[in-house]
Amino acid sequence: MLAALASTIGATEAAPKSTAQAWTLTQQYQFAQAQQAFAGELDTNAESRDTRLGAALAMLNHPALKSKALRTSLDELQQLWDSRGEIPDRVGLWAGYALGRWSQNYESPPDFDLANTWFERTASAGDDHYIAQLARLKSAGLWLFAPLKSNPSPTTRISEVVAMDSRITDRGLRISYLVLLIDGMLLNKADHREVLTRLVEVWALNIPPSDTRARTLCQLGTLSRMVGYQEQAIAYYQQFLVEFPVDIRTQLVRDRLAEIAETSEGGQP
Amino acid sequence: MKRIQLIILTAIFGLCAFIVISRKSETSDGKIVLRVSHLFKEPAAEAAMEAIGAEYSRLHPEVTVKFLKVPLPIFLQWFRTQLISDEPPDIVQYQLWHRDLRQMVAQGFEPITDLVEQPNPYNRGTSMEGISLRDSYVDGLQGGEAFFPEMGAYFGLTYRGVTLRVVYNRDLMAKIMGDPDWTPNNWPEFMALCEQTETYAQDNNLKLFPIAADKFGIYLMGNEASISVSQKLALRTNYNYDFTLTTATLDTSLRFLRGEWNLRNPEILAGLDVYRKVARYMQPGFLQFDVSDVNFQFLQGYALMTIAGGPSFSDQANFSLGAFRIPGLKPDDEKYGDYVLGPYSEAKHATTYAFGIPRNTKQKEVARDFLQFLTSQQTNQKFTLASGEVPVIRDVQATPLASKFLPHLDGYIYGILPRALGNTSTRQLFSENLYRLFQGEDGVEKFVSELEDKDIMSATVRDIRTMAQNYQRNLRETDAALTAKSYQSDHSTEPLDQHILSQTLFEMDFLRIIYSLDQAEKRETRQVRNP
Repeated sequence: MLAALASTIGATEAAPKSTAQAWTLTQQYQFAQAQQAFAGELDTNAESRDTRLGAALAMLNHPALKSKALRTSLDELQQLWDSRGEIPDRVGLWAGYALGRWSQNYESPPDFDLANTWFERTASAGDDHYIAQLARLKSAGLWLFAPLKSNPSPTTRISEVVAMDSRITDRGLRISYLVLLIDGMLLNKADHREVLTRLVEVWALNIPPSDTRARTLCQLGTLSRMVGYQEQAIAYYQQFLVEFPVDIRTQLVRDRLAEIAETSEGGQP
Repeated sequence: MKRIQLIILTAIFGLCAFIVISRKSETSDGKIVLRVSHLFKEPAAEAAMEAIGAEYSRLHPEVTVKFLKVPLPIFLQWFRTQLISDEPPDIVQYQLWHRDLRQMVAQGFEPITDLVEQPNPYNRGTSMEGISLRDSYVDGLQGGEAFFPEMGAYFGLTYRGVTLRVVYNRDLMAKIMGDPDWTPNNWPEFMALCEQTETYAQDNNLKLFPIAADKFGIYLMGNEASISVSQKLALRTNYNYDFTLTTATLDTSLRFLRGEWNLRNPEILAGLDVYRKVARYMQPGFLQFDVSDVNFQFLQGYALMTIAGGPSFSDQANFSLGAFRIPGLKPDDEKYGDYVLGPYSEAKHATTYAFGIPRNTKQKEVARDFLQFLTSQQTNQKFTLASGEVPVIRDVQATPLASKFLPHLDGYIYGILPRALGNTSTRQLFSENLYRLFQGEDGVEKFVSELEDKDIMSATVRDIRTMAQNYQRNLRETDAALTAKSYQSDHSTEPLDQHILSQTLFEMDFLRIIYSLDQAEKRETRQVRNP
């Protein structure tokens, strides 16, 4: 079905004929060529679930996407989800996840409720699988920031996401989860001590060198100071100056250290 | 009017056609012809590029480098044509001044992240040996023309340093202030310099103004002069305590949508008052001029100062040039000092004019090698000295004038600038009504009232909704790439970590946009119910 549709978009003889090559093209955002390559593969290997998933995703991003192709891609994702098996395979989980992402990122206006439903379905079906954890991460973002129909209170938003805490264990995903949670907690005016606990945890995960690391150190210093942990505040601010001597925030951090030195002898309550 | 438009369109088409026809993709004499397009319009920079090409050919005799200068006004149309062509230049220099360009680069260019993360082999024997190409850049390639966070990838290597400075005529400065190198240390001294220039012009019956600027120049100067007045406001509205406006336009707009600041904040009114003070010393009718008028006025000696993003027009002046940073307000300012933290840091000033490799090019490997050569310390040093441009690579020595444009790293965060609000709709509203700001004694009030009457909040909502759609579009592409990366990396999730974090940060901005739009809508509903 997808292979036939490829001709409407213009598959060429020159398209590479290997699923691995097709995935590489997708990874490089070359969706038109990737779609042709997947379609070529489907000609000979129509049962391959990996190839069907790739073709559907590449087609969704094809620059010449047509409404018929769009419907076919979504149907294909739905079929892959429906046939995921009792212990869902990777393709089935990606399909569920992709359907959630479709609702969030393709619909205008975004359908955040439907997206969240798909993420929760995928998370539930996949248990501790990486893709299930990824779906939980996306669901956390929606709970924290999106205008959901149930109109949750700030407390409900935060508690829903905190409830996912033990179910996102992959280190990379956990850093992202905590970064999201911290921002959502601060925006929803959560208790500073609770935010600080999350900040300490994300810091311990050794955030890679980046602006996120600089930002986290500023947040750690400031919140430590706000809850009265002056020594920790000093340590975090000093760490910032060591790691980011040239940064737009450096002078403010120096000022904060000077203020602490002036007003306090340090010490933890 | 239609005839003029037709003539302009025909001229653009003709120029594009000439550029396309004149290119040669085939090899000549068995050599590889590497075609590089650039945007430098200054003769010195153009000549410097040619010299770099010649030197590369000396090192690699099998390669001939041919340069193609593309005028910026036709760049967008030309760029679109190239990206769908089978034979685009092997390397294209771009500047992302139009909102479509970013998407076009993301879809049509090769990611060069691997190149950026490796040491540059052409830096052997220099102070940058063994250091990644990214870290050899003065700005760590953190600008939006090099790194695309939504894709988690680098697409370009920048080649022009941009910082805003007041450029002045040293001969006139010597006559007015008694010293060609006199520069103001603070805001009152800057204002006094402007006063002194007017007095000098009157005393000598000269047609001379303190500052030459156009409509865009007033924004640049006004923003520079007023940016510190709202620093404490920026800090006060920094809900997540990260001490920064992560993205100036986005954060400024979202805080506005959430009702955390408005045009009536004393800090914002003070900033607009600073705009008025600067404009008072610009040539009459400055809102009607364009940049070529301004350059002419300055180069003809009708103004002591103008504003520039680099020393690029130094070779066109028949007098020597000096430059200084606009001294913003400081905490000791009598009127507005309470709002100010201090001079702002230029540490976030990113380099621009990126060179990238179109996907359709046939000579990717040679193009990648040439980019490494171009961005080596030695090559950038030669380019800097020959062109007078600001260096982009660390430890490259600038010319005396260019050194005035090197970023000042010490300082504080940016303040909130009303001009950074929204996008096309809000800026149009701002521009159309700017003249009110400079009229009469109550210009600030008139200007603010007019923006409120014309519902600047709705204009901001419109702009930010469009922005949200752009975020959506980029997110879905990164999703497909992320799934593919998972397939390529098989059992390990490690290669995904960086990609996930990049996507999460980008997505967090998207979600904050949605949240802020929702807050604005709810506030609007409440106001309708309880006017």
